[in-house]
Amino acid sequence: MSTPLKRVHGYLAEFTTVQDIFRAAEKVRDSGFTSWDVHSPFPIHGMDDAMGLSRSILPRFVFVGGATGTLTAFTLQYYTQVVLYPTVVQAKPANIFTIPAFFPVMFELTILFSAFTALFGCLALMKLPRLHHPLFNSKNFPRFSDDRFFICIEARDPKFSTEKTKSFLESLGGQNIELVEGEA
Amino acid sequence: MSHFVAATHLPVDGERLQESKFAKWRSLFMAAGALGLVLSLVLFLMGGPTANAYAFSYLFAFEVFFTLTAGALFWCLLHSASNSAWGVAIRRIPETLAQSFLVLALLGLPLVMPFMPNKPEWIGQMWEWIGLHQEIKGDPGVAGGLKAALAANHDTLLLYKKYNYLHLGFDGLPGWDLRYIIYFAALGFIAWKLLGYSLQQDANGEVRPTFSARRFSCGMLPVFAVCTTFASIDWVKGLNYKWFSTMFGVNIFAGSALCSMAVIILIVGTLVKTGHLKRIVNEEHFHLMGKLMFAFTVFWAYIAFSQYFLIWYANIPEETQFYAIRNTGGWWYFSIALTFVHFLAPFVLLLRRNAKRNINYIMACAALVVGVHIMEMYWLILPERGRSLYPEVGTAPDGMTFLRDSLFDVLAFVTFAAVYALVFLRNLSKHSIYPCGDPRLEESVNVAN
Repeated sequence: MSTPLKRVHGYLAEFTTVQDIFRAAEKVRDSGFTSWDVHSPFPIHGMDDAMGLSRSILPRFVFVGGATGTLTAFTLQYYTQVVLYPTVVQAKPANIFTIPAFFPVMFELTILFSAFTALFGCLALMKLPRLHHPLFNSKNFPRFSDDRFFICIEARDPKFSTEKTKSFLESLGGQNIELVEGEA
Repeated sequence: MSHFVAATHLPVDGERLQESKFAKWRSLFMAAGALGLVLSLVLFLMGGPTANAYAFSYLFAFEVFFTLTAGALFWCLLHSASNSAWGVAIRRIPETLAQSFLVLALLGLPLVMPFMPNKPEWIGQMWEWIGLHQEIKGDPGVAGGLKAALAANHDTLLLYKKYNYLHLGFDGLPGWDLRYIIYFAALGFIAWKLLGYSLQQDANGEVRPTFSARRFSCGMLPVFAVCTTFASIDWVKGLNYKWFSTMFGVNIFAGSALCSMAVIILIVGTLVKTGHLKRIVNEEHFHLMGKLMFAFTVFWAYIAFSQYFLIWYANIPEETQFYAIRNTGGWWYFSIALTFVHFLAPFVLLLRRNAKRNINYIMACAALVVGVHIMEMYWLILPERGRSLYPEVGTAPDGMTFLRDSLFDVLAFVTFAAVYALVFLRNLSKHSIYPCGDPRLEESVNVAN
């Protein structure tokens, strides 16, 4: 039986109020860290700016997804109803001017494809689903979904240092600072 | 996050409109309005074919500004009823716009001539059912009363079926005239009351007016819905009494709320650019208003298409006649263009987030939306003029008549626009241009999204 190898995930610091975590986030941002995150029980308005996050690429994916939906629906209907097997309904023409009849499906598929792209794109960008995360090794961390706020600076950040990062988080007012380890 | 603005740093008595910056505009509006009103009066007094043609132009302009005002009232009602905080900073603009019901009620009088036993010819030409009504009523050979006479004639059979709505009490208590007054009284009262709560709060800064306005708005939203729906049925759908569509009221409403939001963006943008609302309004508010404008662009398209789609598919002559004349001749291009500029262009232009946060860009989009709303009203009302007044040449009048009618449209629109803008500037200068006493002003000023 071998002892599993441990790898340092990063430092986790706990905060008690929104104001504290907001100011701390601004300072972490200004110190130039890139691999770090804020965990809070609820969304905090303006946190994106405080963390210096850039816009997500997801909207672009969704636009492409939606446009694909529109074109899929149009092609599907045009090909089957006009080209392959022209269907005359209520003396309506079987050509491009039948397009009003295609609109409902085009609309629905746009929504459907956009929604799927948004959901699955979001999961993919967040690298979800996953079975475990090193932060779950922390005893304090579960309170992130209750009444505490956390900042985690990860070890893979180029500016990470075992001593300095700890004292930096202390200077921000973080409590219960712990070094979180995960399995290698 | 932009710099936090605490309520204590804002002036207690709000901010006034810097009237000197609009002095030139004001005199322009005054000149155009006065000239337009005089010319309109002359055209109506001329009577005959001129007044008949001009009445349609006048109705078109009236409807554009009525929908604008009703939309502004809707945004006020929605803001209070949904207990919103974001829009407090810009709420005074729709509140002030909604005060214009009074001036519209007065400007609309030539279209209705309430409580006149015999309506002028142009009213009977525009709303043909009124013309038929008066014709039959004036015919001494009719036996068994108006209802029986309507039922006896094939042309007026549909009028007979709509007797209970259109003619009810027309002879004794004029129902149609009365409805005109009810709409304006109800909507004007709601607008006046909401502004009253807001001004009360300006003075005392208490929380209570917010609660009162919220309770009042929840109760008044159904009244608003009923009034605007039936107003659009009476004045626009009534232009062709043989046509029916159950989606018509909501169709007008969708355009109305959309156009109104666009006008609010234009006004707030103009105020910001002329140095007003400096610490009150920022790009977050334009973003939020842009989102609503975007949402209503889609909503309008959804409703307008649903109405078209059902009628197109079912293919029943009584229903398709509305689209048939709008698919004929030049109107066909107009209808197709409307699809692209009223839905597709604003949809694509407003899709991006950054687009909604750039004041110049969003103002250009808002100007486009106002333009297409005017186009839609033109498209709804003016094809009926061709059908009513020039039936012998189909729906297209000859070149000179068309030119004259187009000049009439411009004249009516400019008249309404000038008078409306003048009244708006006057109303806006009466009080602070943002609700300075609202306890949620701070939240609204620092809104983030």
